[in-house]
This record gives sequence, C-alpha cells and structure tokens, in this order.
Amino acid sequence: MDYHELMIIGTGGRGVLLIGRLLLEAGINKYKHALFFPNYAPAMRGGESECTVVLSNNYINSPVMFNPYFALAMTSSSLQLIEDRIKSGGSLILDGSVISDEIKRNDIKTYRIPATEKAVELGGNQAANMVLLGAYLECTKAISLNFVEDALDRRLQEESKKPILTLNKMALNEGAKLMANYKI
Amino acid sequence: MSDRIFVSGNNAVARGAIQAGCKYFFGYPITPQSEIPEYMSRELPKIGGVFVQSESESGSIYMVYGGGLAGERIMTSTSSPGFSLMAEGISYLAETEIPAVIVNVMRMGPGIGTGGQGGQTDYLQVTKGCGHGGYRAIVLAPASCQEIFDLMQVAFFLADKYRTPVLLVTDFILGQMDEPIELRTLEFEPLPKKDWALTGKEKRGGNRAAHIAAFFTYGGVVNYHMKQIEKYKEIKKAEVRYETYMAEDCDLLIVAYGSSARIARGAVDMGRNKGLKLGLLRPITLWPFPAEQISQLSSKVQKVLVVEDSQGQLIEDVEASIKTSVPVHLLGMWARHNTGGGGIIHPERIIEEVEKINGK
Amino acid sequence: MENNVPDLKKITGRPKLRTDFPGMYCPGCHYGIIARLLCEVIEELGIEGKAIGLAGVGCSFGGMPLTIDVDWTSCPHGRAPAMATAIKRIHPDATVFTVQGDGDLGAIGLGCFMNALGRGENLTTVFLNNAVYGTTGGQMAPTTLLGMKTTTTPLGRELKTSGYPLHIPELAATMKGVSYSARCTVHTPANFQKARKALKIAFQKQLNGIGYSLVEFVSACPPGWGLNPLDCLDFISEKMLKEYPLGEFKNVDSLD
Ligand code: SF4
Repeated sequence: MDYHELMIIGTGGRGVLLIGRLLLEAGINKYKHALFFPNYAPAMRGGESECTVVLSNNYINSPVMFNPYFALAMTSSSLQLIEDRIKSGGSLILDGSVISDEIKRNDIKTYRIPATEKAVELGGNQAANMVLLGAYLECTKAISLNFVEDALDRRLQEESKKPILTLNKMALNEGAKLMANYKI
Repeated sequence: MSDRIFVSGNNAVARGAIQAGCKYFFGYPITPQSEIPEYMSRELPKIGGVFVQSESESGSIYMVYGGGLAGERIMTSTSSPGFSLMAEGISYLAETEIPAVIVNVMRMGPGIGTGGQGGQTDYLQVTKGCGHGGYRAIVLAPASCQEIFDLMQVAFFLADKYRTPVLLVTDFILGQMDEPIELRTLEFEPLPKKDWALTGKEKRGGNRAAHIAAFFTYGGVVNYHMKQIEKYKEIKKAEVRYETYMAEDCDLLIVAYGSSARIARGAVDMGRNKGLKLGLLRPITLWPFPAEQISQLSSKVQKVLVVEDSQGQLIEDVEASIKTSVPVHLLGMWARHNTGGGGIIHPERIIEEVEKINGK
Repeated sequence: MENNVPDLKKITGRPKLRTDFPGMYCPGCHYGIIARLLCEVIEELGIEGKAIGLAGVGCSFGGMPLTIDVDWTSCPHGRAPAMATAIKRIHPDATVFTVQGDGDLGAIGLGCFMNALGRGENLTTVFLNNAVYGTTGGQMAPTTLLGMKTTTTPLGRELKTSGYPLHIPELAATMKGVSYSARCTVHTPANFQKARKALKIAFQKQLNGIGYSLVEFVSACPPGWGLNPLDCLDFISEKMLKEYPLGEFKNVDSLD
C-alpha cells in the first residue's frame, strides 16, 4: 500500500504526539509525502491529545480527517471519541491493559494489545505508546521497525538517555510480537 | 528523499525567513506561534543576527519599524490578539513605505478567543488594512510547510520590491503540522539599493536620510496618495497568486484559503470518488485578491461554496468578485466537529454540505 | 574714529549642523536652544556622520529632524526607544539618540522607554519636559505641576484626580541598565553650559558602550503655560525647579 492514515488519541503526557512524530520521521524513508498534525490545546496540558499521521506517495491533501482508516486509542475516554468515527472496514488498536470497554462496532477490526502491562514488564509504563506503535507497524507493514529505531537513535543520543532508548526499542519490538501472535 | 527535513509550519516560517537573508527578529511570545521566536532566538545569534524579545507586540512592531528603517530584512510574528496590537505600527510602515514581513499565525477571535487553537477569523483584518488610514499590504496565505518556506522568501522580496509591509497568514493547523520540506533558495530579480536607509550620513557621502512624514516627503497629501494608488494598481496587476485544483470541469467550485483550502482539496478528491464534480480555487494572495479568476471560473459552474473557519469573511470578497447570479454558499466555523477550541471542519463535513446543497 | 576694539575673536557662531530650515517653534520656546546644543555637542564629539536621531511625537517631531543635519526619523507616539533599539542593534557603530517630550516618553511611551532601560540598550535619550502637551494645545502632561492650570486641568492639577508629577531621571537612575541620568535647563547662560556638559557626557557613555544615558531638559512652553517668554524663565526658577531639581542622578562607568 502506498497510503496510510492513522489517528492516535489519548491523554496528554502519555506520548501520543511522540509516536506520531516518530512515525513521520521514519516514514519519510519510504514515502514521498508525509504529514503529522497534532490537535491539542497548547495552553492546557493534560487534556485529550490527538494527532493524525498520513504517509503517501501522492501529495497529501487534507491534514485532518473525520473518519480515519486506522485508529490507535490509549485511554477509555479517548476511545469514546474515536470509535464511531473509524471508516468501515478499518482497524482499531487499543491499550487492552487500561481499556476494558466493549467495542460496539463489528465492521472494523479491533486489536486489544496489553500495552501498559507489557511496558511495565519491560521496565516502565511510559513505553506503552511504543508497544502500540510496534503493534501498528506489524499490522500495517507501513514501514519497517528499523526506520523507527533509527529515528529513536537520533532523538536519544545522549549517554544519559541510553536506558530509555533501550526500553523504547524493546517495547517497539515486543509490540510487534504481540501483534504477530494476535488471535482475533 | 532523506535530503528533505521535517519541519512544522511555524518552523518553516523561521527557516524561510533566514533563507531569505533575514537576520533580525523582534517578537513577543503568544500561542500558537511561540516556536517561531524560540527558533530565532536559538539560530540568529549563530549567524551574526539579532533576536530581541520585546515587551509587547507593540514593542515588536516598532522594533521592526526601526529595523526596516535601518535597511535590513526584518520580521516579527504573532497571533491574532498580538496582531491587533501591531496594527498601528503596520499603518506607519505602510505610510513611510518601509519593507517588513509580519506573520500572523491566526487563532479564533475576537478578543482572547480560543487561547491558541484553530481559526481563520482575521481575514477581514489582514486584507482590509488592519490599522488606520486605508492602506493596503500584500497578504500571502500558504497552505503547506513547503509553501510557507517558499512564500517567506517571496514575502521579503515583495516587501523590498514595493517598499511595503507584507503579511503572511497561517493558523494553528498550518503552524503545528509537520511536513518534509526541501530547503531551496528561490531566485528573484535584482532589487535597488536601499539608499533611504538610516545608517549615519557618512555612509551616504555626507548626505543625510531623513524620514519625517511621508506626506511631507512626497510634496503633499494628494501627491502622496496618488503615488500609493499607483503602487497598489501595479501590485494588483503583477502579484495575484492562486491555485486551482480540478477546476476545469467542475460543477461546484469551492473557494478556500490556507488550512481550509488544504482540507477542501481532500474533499475534492473524496467528492470526485463519489462522482461529485468538485473543484477548488485557492487564493494564495488574499490581497491582491484573485477576483478576476474567481469571476471567470464562477461563470462556468452551477454553484460556489466558500469554506472558511470563521463566521464568513472571505465570502465577502468572493461575492464581490462574481458577476453572475450563480449561488454562493458558505460553510463556516459552525461546521466544526466539536464545539471546543480544537474543533475542525473536516473534508467529510464539506462533502456532507455539498450533498445538502445538491439537494440529496 | 579709530577702531579701538583690537583682536576680535569669533567665539561662537551658527553650528555647522544647523540646517537652513527656519526654526518652527513659538517665540520663547527652548527647543530651538536645545537643538543648537545638540548640534554643538554632536560636532564637538565628531559623530555627525554616525548620528541617527529619532524624534517623538510632539513639537520635536518635525522641528528636530528639520533643523539638525544628521540622519533622522520621526516616530509614532512614544515608540522611539523601541525603534532606536533595532537601529542600534543593526548598526552598533552608529550613535543613536531619541528626542522625546513629556507626553511622548512619560505617558504613552513610558512602558516602551522603561523596557529599553531594562534591557540596558546602548542609547541616549533627550527628554524634553515642559509640563504640558504643547503641540495639542496645552493639555495636562504626566509632568504637569500640582495646581498648574492646563486645558484639561482648568482648575489646576489636583492630586486626588490626576496624581503626582513624574520624575523621569530619578526613575531611570534606579534602573541597572542606565549609565547616566541627569536633569538640566537652558534658561540661564550658566545652566546652558552645564547642560552642554551633561549632554556630552550622555553621548560619551554611548560611545563607550555603557548602557542607556538620559538627559532631561526642563524647558519653557510660553503658550502652554500662558506666560510670556521672560515670565517663563521665572516660572522655571521658582516653580519647575522646586519639583524638578537639577543635577546628576546616576553617573557610572560600567554597569553592574
Ligand atoms: S507649543 Fe510649547 S513646546 Fe511647542 S513649540 Fe510652542 S513653546 Fe515650544
């Protein structure tokens, strides 16, 4: 596929925007066009935070979409905002560790990935976003994990950031594994 | 593809300015544009430039005025409430014909508005002479990070060429979104030397430069205004910029600028996939306005739809451009997907509106 | 008759920098004298090729630029220090100075002025205090004396409704970015000489790169005060200088 659109939604501070931006930075290795738009309230930290990422070989028209083909939800409250909006035939990945809501849609594929649990197991719940990103990439094959790892390397160069870099990379790969072994 | 870099629209403003040779920036923090002064404060000292954080937007615009008088490429950036404060200074820049670039990353107003999220509610203000005196300033409205980067260079060129303030308007969506851009340098025709600049008279062979009052310089009020009217005519003739998309054979023409135009472009594709013959005209210069082009295109279509994230401001210029009785519809900020600050007019909503207009 | 006045020496004359433009001030106004002083000091320091003046809104708006032959711009009301900031940052070798009245600097432009002091800009300001808005017809200024009649204080400035007169050099002296702050007058020959000295020091501070320098001139405005030019001189001695004492309030060779 040469076109991917994704909406990531969660609570501010959980790395929603970070994985969106990483996907963009990594995506440019494979796609001619890429766009990331964070829709958040800059003056109001801690509220709902969402972003859209589009990767495409054609010029990207709209930076926003009401009905994304793919969505990634990190909290129950954000799931409420996105569930009805996903395109029919599209997909949803959610953090199954913190979201227990029943999904009413049966025209989309839903993947419950225990992202927070896996992140805690690996050493820190802040890496839950990376588990979800890994799962997304395994599911869509939008880009290879290596490109994301490279982007992480560029962002976390300092010696003091080494442990967090290692954690993030592990989480990314574990997320991909969880998706690879996922049974609907 | 890796020779391109990722930047946000705000970052593209700053980089485009530096690419154009702007080494002096005077600004004041305001959401959602603070990334611009932040970038400038980091980068300008490295290239021998100067960044000054002023005490207010009023301070910024007069530093810009002083910097322009000193003969250098200078700029400031702000968002709507700050832009109002700058309006007075822009009137002075226009009066004395001092080149300057002012960027307004709009947010929804009036007043304090959304405190830093989306909105395009400054159209009337930027296009109709934001300060006193009925002057005109060129207004550029890019719709992508690359275009922001490129038009910043154009802005500095036009400011110098016509000796006028040039306004570049973006908004929250354009300012915050990230896209890859190519850091290219645009070529322009050579510009005359700024022999009017204040440098100390020894640099002018002992002849002083004095800017006292523009009316005085031009030999009277009427002469002054005739000169300006001439200049405005010239700009109108030479500098109208716009873009069309699928407009050749469309039944319904959408007119939109900036982020709304980008979203509307998405709607055109969606509509075409559904068999709706949509097209788009995007004014790139809001002044001078592509009135002629809208007039021509609108005479060939059944309907016109203006999309803007405001109460309906652009539509005034669109309606004034159209000479036929083709119906002009408006999709404004009420079409946002939620009532909070982060509400957005999505392409899907534009299609819904088109279907409603078509009576389906 | 024999000429018995030997050895006539020219000890003064028209300053080189004084343009041919006739003065545009009211009879008895001190601005013309101050303009002359500016010419003389700029000449003495040999900085006429580097000097850039900024005139605020008020009677100095056209008067100063038209009569002193250096680079000039007139400025929007109260904004000269912001404009001067940019000019000086762009041309650090230039000598950049503002000439501003009491309404321009003390009222509408006080924030702009104080922030330039706060930043320790390397600039010089000539502050013209005649206690009224002269240009607009003699309304109250921030420096109007208590009890003084103006067109907007017809019964005299009242403390209860209009507050206190503003002391700019004293205020400036409290600012760390200021190198020199003084008040003078040109209403007597002796004071004229002192004023020349003060103005020269102020420019010298800028030439030495030591932050903001300021000289206030307590100055007469006959129509604004409703007095003839001679009585204005008495008014300065008896009233103005009581409220606005002459002297230096700060004079340092480096900022801390
Ligand atoms: S009004 Fe006052 S300050 Fe103005 S020129 Fe006349 S005397 Fe001088």
